[in-house]
Amino acid sequence: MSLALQGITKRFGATPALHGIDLAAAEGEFLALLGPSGSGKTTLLRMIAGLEAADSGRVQIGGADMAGVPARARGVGFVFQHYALFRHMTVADNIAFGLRVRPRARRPGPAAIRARVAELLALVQMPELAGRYPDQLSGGQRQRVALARALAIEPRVLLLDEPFGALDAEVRRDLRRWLRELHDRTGLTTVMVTHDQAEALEVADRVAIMRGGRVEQVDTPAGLWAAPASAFVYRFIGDAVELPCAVRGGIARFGVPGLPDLPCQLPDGDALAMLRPHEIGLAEGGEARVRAAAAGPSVRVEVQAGGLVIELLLPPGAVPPAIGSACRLDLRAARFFGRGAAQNPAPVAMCPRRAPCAGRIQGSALALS
Amino acid sequence: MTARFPPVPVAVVLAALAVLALLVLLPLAVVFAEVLDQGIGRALAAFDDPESQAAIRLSLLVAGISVPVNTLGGLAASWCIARFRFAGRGLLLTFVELPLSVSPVISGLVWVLLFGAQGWFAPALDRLGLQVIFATPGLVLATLFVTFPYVVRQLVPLMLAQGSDEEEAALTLGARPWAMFWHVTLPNVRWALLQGVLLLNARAMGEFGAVSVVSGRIRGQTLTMPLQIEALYNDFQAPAAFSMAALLALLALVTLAAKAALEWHTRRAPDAAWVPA
Repeated sequence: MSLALQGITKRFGATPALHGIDLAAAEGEFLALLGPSGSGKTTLLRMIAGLEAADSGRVQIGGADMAGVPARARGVGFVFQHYALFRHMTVADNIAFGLRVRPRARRPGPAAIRARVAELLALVQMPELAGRYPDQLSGGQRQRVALARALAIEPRVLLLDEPFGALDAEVRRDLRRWLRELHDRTGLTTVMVTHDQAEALEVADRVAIMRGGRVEQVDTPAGLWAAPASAFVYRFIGDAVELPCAVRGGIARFGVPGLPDLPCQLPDGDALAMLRPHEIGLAEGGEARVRAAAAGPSVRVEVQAGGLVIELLLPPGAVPPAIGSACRLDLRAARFFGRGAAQNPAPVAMCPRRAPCAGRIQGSALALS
Repeated sequence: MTARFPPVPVAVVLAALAVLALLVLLPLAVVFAEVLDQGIGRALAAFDDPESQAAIRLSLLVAGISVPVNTLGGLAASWCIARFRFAGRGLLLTFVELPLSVSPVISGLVWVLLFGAQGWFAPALDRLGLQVIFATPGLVLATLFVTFPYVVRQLVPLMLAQGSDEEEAALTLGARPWAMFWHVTLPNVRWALLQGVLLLNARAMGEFGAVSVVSGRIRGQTLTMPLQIEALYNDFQAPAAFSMAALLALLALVTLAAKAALEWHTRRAPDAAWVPA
């Protein structure tokens, strides 16, 4: 069923948590809420479920306003970050819970409940574990039970809060693929909260990137890659090399030997040129110098240009350049974002991962300015 | 698990056991030795005394009221403290422990000040013809006050550790609040609750200080078992006093055994242990 949020705001005491969120998911869509911790994504998810009340704004499920509708009547399946399985119930009883607490008129008979539980256990591929208790299961198994339990009530919307957060990398990958298949098979509208951009971009139809209680951008994964709306989004969805520059008369200048001037559409002022490490070209001869090169799946090269150290990736099979050799950089793939505006404060605080690459450049860039 | 510590010197263990024997086991043993000394027949004869029987009945009545009231009250208070943030929550958490830290005499005295002949509510009680102090209601009130913390102390830490995820899960799955409480909240704390109830019961039966202030010591009417024991002893009826004391001590031992059994069960049972996810 479709889902719509309009003008959602929320404060916790004096702290504003959400500032006027507008967001929608079409029927059958898989929407990911992606953002660093504290961006408000979990609060938003809990509001859809009715576990948290918005200060203002509307939540609609299937076109119906959910104001005053308690969690139990919303028909949402919620999978908690730490699964929240009932510890004193077996797997089968956990899954059956939502059916057993229905009002008598809508409650299936014991045989029907048993059949439904068996069906769901088969769906999550663990029929042999019906009699186990939650603490006798691995993390991945608990995750599947939590999903089966949420699906048992035939929800209109499935909500997942960091569903893979507590699992190790390999289990995550498997479960991710499996979850997407499950979504496609059930045709449910799914909203997933995550702070892992690879997860969001791989699984979701559309990704809403959140920051500080606001939605920065909503787009398909391809759309986010092709046209990130801000430096924050650019940085958040993948490795980023950030080069501060000054724009004057349509030309961006870095003021660093070895970095060529570039044409730029931005108005005059300070800006950031951003590139993915693999978008940076490397050519022999020039004012920059190769500091280090390491072969791997693709060749990782560190280049020193003035006070900056820039890390870039050459395609697989490229010949690593000789260390110490002179080189110049091709930055034509750069994307420019204005700096100094409120939405793009100093970049240091918000490169949540990929620190080795971007962090070092930022450090030296700051030292220069 | 203990293997990480260096082995404890035997002498230290023996010293600890000696202190335990001297301070705890010996006094307890004396009670039972006195009873056995006078012979089981004579010991049982002490319970034929109508005043002693009245004391036992009164203790059962006081405990019979205090235990359910404080079990339900403690459960409600624990749930509020563990699940909600509200103004005065910290204060409540501190004051819940007050009865444990204040002297039992004061716990009794406050009720005299409120409901006694010169107390705040004396005129109102007079008009209604109710007697609280030197009567059963006073004993119940004093016992309720003294025993309130036991359930809360057991439940609040456990509920805080468990968090509210499971309760919220129950709500999203369609459970009404009552179903949530009955199928999720209560089962998750049942063993801790039972331990709290055991301690609460033991204290309700054994309380001396607070009830002695409000009792007025009317024989056959306002003497609970501990007060009866003292009365008998002061009357130079040591054998009867020891018989009664043995009964009370036996209750304590049974409570202790039941509590130990529960703890053992809790450690083993998969559903009772808190497992961080």
